[in-house]
Amino acid sequence: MDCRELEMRLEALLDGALAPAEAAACRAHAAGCPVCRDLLELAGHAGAARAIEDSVDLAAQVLARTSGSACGRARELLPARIDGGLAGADGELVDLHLETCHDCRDLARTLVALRVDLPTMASLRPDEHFTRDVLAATLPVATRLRRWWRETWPTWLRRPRFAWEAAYVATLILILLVTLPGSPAAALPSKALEIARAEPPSVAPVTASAREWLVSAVRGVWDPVAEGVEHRVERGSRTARGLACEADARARRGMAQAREEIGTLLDAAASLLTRADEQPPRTTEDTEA
Amino acid sequence: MTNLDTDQLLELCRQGDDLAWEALVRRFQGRVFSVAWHYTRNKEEARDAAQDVFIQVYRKLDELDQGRAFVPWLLRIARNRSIDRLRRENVRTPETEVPVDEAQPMAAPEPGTDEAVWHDDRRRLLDRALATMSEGYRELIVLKEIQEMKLEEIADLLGLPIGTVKSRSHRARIALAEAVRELDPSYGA
Repeated sequence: MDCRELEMRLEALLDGALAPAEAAACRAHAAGCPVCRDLLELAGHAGAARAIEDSVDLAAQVLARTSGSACGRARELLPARIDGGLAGADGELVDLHLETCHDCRDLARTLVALRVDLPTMASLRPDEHFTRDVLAATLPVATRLRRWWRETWPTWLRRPRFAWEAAYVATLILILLVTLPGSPAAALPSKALEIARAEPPSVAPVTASAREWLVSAVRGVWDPVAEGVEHRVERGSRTARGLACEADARARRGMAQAREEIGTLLDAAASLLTRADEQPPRTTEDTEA
Repeated sequence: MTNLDTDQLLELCRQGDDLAWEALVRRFQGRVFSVAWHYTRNKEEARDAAQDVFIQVYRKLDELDQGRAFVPWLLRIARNRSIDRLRRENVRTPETEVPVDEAQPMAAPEPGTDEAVWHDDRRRLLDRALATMSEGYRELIVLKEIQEMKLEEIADLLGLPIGTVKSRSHRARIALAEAVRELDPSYGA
């Protein structure tokens, strides 16, 4: 082994990572080489000072005076590392950084929790009427109109102000029809004014002959009708009178007959009572016999 | 929940089956509402945006290619409708189609809204942390980490190279992790 080979293996020798044979060869060379012996002694002191280095975070101080903090680079790579998409040297470097950087380690933990929690926010329940409203809004127009006519229109109609509103709308439409230029009803007001201002048409007086003709025509129609009505009324009253007389006679006959029958019955009863008084009273033997 | 897969449901929807459409809405309403919430950060806005999304999906069902994945298409619509609604309502002013601008400030979340949406402390914490992030980072977190879209799909959606999406996504995760630790140092311990 020569000096160069020992230098190449020095770190592994100090870390105890060399095979025993190689370590023995290194020590044998150092025993005969003053330069390498000094190097080994120096390296031994450095190893002893590692604990001090850790306690004062020498690396942080060095980084502060050279490249600056490595947290920025670590944070760039953190999401990919957490997603499992960062392998090789970058992945190992991020892991090494996390071992010593508390802030980045906490951030990594937060990112891991976010990966679990964020997808649970994908669905957010709307209120209970949402589906109904969507379905109502997406129904075919004809169905919607039918539903509106069936459900909403009667409600509108029942509102107390509906008459006022309807009158207002009708007035508005009328005003628009009359005032809009080019409207077919635009000329209506002026025509109405013309008619109102015009002289009333002269009416010829009814002549005497015409009056007579009118009276005779009315009589010609009215008199037969009046006679017919009078005749029918008279015949009806005669019939009514006859019926009343007949009913009266029948009633009288009925009363006389009823009186006779009652008299006969009373006579029969009186004779029976007389005969009963004339006969002797019955004994117990008579009854048994 | 039906055992029919999404493609079967879509086919039935195209044939005009109202029940299939209802099942599809029920299956994806939570996802769409979540995306809309993360963009608008307002419960009512998110609800309206989600409803718009389904109406648009219903009208465009025939336009969806047979071989194309439904969920990325749905999320794309959800994202665009949410941004449209934000613009229209002037709640905030996001960047245009690709708002991946790290310097853009975020509007403060409405007080109490996250409590009304999330029902456990852990997700509430994450939601608060998300609210402190820039629009661009938050969008990447929502698409990549929450909705678990592929990098290629996100790149296609945002019109960015895959490498850019990947690196920004990593930075967004780190930013979120730092925000979470700031709010609760014990998280993940």
